[in-house]
Amino acid sequence: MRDLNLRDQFPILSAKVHGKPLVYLDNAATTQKPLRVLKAIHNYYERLNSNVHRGIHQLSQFATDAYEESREKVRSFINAGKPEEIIFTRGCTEAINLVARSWGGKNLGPGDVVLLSEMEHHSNIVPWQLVCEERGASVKPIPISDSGELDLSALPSLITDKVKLISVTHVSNVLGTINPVEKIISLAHARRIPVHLDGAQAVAHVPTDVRSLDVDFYSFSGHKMYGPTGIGVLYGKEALLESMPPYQGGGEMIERVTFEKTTFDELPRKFEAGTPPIADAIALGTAIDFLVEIGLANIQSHEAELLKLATQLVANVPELKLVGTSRDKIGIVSVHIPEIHSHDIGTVLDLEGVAVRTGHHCCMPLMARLGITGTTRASFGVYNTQSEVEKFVSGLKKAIELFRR
Amino acid sequence: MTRTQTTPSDDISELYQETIIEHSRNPRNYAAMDEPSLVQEGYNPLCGDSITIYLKLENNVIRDASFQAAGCAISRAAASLLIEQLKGLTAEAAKKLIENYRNTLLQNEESNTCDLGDLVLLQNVRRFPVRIKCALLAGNTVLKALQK
Repeated sequence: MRDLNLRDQFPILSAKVHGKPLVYLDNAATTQKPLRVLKAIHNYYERLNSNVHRGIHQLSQFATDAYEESREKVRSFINAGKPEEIIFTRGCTEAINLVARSWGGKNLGPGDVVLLSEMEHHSNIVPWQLVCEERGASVKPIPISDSGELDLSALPSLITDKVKLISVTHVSNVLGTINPVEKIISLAHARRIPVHLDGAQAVAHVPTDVRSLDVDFYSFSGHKMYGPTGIGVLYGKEALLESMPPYQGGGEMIERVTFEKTTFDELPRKFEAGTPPIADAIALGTAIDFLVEIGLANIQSHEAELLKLATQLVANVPELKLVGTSRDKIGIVSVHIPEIHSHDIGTVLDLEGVAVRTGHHCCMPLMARLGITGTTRASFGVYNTQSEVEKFVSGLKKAIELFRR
Repeated sequence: MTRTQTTPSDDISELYQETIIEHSRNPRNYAAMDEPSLVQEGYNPLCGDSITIYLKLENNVIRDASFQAAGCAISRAAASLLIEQLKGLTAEAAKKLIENYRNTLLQNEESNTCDLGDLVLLQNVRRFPVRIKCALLAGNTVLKALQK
């Protein structure tokens, strides 16, 4: 297996925890950042710091140029048609809240339904519940199979006239399943229903092309794609974004303000009230450069190799139950050991230097559907190696020995 | 005993002592109770753990105590060891025991490990800050019940 050979670009990967080399397998929670992303943040504050879209001075123009250049990088990365369709947010969660509040607040009414799925992260459930409660609407889940795939056969009967929007995850953060979003979008569009995709777990692992998907809204975070925290993206089709009221009010997003009436600026600034996280937006552009240089196809094949090895090693241990066995997966391995709680497993792994996520992964309805309280999840990134996968599975074996002694 | 002098394998066996694993597998007084004086549910929203505590009080003395829980080994063992010790205590003595146990885990100065009984086995949890809430779920839930 070919390693991508970029560990030396990540200073944190040489850290030790509990005296052991860090084995970082919690990439679905947040990825580590390459040195060039850290330098981009530093460089902004050292050489460019000033506010965007306001100053008459040169420094402000430089900062604005860098900020807008990053928007263009995002556009190109997901193949959106126009930079105006790229809204910078604080993260994926805020992007989803923006769609729910602004689009949902305008378009949802009593009795209407927002279709979600049983595998959604809380951040693609709760914003919809909040707006639905206000509007007298409700959310309904698309069921999943035992292998952790969306049950598309249930979809035609679920898409009633009451369904106003479908919002599902592109890739599951627990199961690793890559959902057949093209099929969902074409079914929905046949009924003139717009679709929002939660791309938080997808963009750093599978090529994403919003125009070829013909998706209406697409949300993701910077920090799960080797960029900083505090920055995220909402892509929306221009006509939809134009039709929506602002999400937050403030500076930057206005055209003209009087006490009688305020008119709003054009896209994308209509949805970017206040001073944005400029340094983080610029550094997100740097993270995109990093991903583009490696190439999504290389990333996919590297992570697929790690997934294959992990799946084989897990299958060799009878006590380990793999949760999420779709054939179409990214490098996420969730395991369940009957009678051993995932937090106890997580502590044993932690003491071996292996960082994983345990528990319900912000997917309590999914855990209820699967009839378990949590899983122990390893999620792979560009810098992970075969020997790290082996350490993960040997740590799991150690936990089994300890708790079954 | 300082952090730097221990190895990971020492840490793991000190955290998960034999008695703790045994209690987590075979928790004592693990049942619902007929006609309890107090029932209290407790949750750890961060990890999804849950517990239900049942207490029977007569003249302010805890005559019987039991629990049911979904959670990790630490939280189940802590509940089992605590509930065992509650029987026969006055409500005030129970509160004092739990306060003392909390202080031990949170490393407050007022802690007195001699009075903890077998709960002292959980004192190493204090070296795992993310797990302290597991060890405190049962105690916090009992305190909530006794405040009713």
